[in-house]
Amino acid sequence: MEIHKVLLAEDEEDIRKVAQMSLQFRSGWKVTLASNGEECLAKAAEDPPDLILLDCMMPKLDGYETCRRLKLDPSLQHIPVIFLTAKAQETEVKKGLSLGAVGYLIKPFNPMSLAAEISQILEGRDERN
Amino acid sequence: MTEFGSKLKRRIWQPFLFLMGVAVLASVCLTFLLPLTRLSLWIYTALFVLLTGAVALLMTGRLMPSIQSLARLTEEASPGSLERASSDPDELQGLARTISDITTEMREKEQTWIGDLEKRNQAMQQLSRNLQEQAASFETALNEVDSPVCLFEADGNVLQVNQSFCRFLGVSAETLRTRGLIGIVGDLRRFVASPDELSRAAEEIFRKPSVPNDTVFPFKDRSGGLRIYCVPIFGELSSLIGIIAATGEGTDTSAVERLKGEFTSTVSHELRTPLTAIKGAVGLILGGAGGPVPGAIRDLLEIASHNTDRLIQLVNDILEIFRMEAGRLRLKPAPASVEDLIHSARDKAAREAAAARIRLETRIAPGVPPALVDAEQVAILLEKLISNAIKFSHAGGTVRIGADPMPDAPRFLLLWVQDFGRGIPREAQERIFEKFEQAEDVLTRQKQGSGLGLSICRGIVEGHGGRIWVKSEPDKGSTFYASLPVAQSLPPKAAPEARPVRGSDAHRLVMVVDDDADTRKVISRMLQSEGHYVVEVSHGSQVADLALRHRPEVITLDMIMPGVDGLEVLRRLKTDERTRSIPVVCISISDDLSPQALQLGAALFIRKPLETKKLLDAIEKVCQTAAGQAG
Repeated sequence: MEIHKVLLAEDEEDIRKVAQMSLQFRSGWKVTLASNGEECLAKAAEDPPDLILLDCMMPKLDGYETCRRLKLDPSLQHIPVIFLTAKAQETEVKKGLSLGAVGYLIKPFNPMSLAAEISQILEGRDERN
Repeated sequence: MTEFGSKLKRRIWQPFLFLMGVAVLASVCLTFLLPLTRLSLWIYTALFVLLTGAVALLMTGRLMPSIQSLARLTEEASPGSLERASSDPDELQGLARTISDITTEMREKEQTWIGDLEKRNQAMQQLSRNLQEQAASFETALNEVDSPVCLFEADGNVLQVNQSFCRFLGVSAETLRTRGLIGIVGDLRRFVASPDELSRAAEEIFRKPSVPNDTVFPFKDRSGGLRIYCVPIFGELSSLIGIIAATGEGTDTSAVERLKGEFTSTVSHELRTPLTAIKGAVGLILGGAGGPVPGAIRDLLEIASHNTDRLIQLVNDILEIFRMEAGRLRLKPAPASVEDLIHSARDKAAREAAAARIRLETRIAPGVPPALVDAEQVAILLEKLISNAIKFSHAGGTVRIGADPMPDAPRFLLLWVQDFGRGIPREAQERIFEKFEQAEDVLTRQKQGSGLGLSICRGIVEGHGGRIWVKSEPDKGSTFYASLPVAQSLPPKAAPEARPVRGSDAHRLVMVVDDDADTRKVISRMLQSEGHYVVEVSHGSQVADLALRHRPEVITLDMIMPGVDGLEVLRRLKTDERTRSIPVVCISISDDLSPQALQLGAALFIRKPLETKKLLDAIEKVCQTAAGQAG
């Protein structure tokens, strides 16, 4: 699938910046930012992206709940979701995959290969489909 | 003695009375037989009776005192009293002598017994004194103990309590002794959140007192818990004599585990967040996101990047140790092919090995059965063992990874990693599996590492029920062995997915040029998935030389690289006769450089992000074109 717009939900400003720069620099994707789950849902509804990247631990609405709500929304449920997670939460994320996410990436990520790894996850999903 | 005296009286009187009777009877008979007148008869008879009576009286007078004296003495039976009867008639004297002997013997025995009894009495008194002293010392010691301690008998009666226990319950020792186990458990119930659980546990401890029992019952109105520590005391034949119970405030272990888990998760998250930002920012600068980076600054940034990676590894290791110690490392064993495990670990370590100029070899013995392991954890195990082996090898050396069956323990197989480095001193060989230990500590701290790697390895192997050990000789190298359980068989492999046919020769040698290691890895994985062979190159300056050496069929070239960039690499390749014919697939984020690249001789220009299909199609297309041109 072709990716043009990515919505990234991450509460840490520095990581938002790094991830945004990394994706724009290495893939040319347009990256929209959200600082928590609620903002993510609002921005997704306003301008549906091709891909949503979700941090797990966020204030107001965490990544899991955001993912669950996205998958309940008929107009947003088709958008692939990938979790960005610290290793400690790997087990929880695998649980989160049952909520409909297509994959997860472990922090700290390599900014030079983040886009490539995302592409691989999406390809894997396309192959499975 | 009274009974004996009566018997003696009867035996003496009976013959005497018998003689008297015979005499009277004889007189009566003579009276009737002799021809005498009635008067003379009566006179004879009277005389006879009188005579007999006189004889009887005489005999009685002589014998009775002796008999009565003997009877009395025998009744008294005091030692030596029968000796006074020595002047009596012979029979009685013999009897008296016999009885006297018996009583003398009895007296001697009595004396012996009295002696023994006195000795025993003294010993008992000494023992009693000792016991009292010991009991007093024990009581003093027990009272010195800060923790409330109570000693129960096997039936639940209270044997001893210390003052702390009395203070703890606010009741005197005497009262507690009368209450027994049931009463005391009743007193303790008011402290805890789950009193029924406490009662059940107490019952269980007395029912099955096989081992010391240490349980914490959370308090009902505050944090922490009531800790009850019980030790059974066994007597002969393993019968339960009693139970020592110590109570006090403890920490609820489940709460500790929960806190540990939360702490691990929080620390991990809090450490990772800044590390992610640092690694990301430094990575982007090094990657050229902010423009070309001068050499000196690049060196410094690479130091920062390298140390960030070390810090990340340390955080990961600490997290892994926490998980193991908290028992949260849940293994999911499944049958796995040993070849797959080893080859995958070798491929993963290839880059690190190449950087250290170490050759990786695999030696899998024939007949090694499949392993019943958590493949993810075994991957970590092998990664750490191989990484260690590389770290402690000399440049240009070899590291071997292998597997063997274990004939002596057929339920296990052996994975091993061997290096030919400096080896591990004997005294450090056990210690290196402990946390924060490195054999290098003994010498210098020059090799980097958290010192947690081998401890994690041990946790993984022991978690599988196996064992890890090392054989090492100084200056000859080390071999780490891990025994892991064997699986009966492997599940049937899924049929390989049908892939599009990509020309006559699908296995090509591809040189992947990219300054970023992870991107190289991603591209390599894409190519290897199709069976292509890959040579990775990280610096533009090395491409021409390596292309000459390896003669790849195709080169993928990243355009934006520090130092010698993609266009320059392309120029060098295309101006050298020997490399000009190798097709080059240029990869870039934008098409900006496409015209220049194509003009310099690039076979194809593709845009990021890469997708496997896009890349493989490109490779196949340029190779076929090149083959067509050559033909």
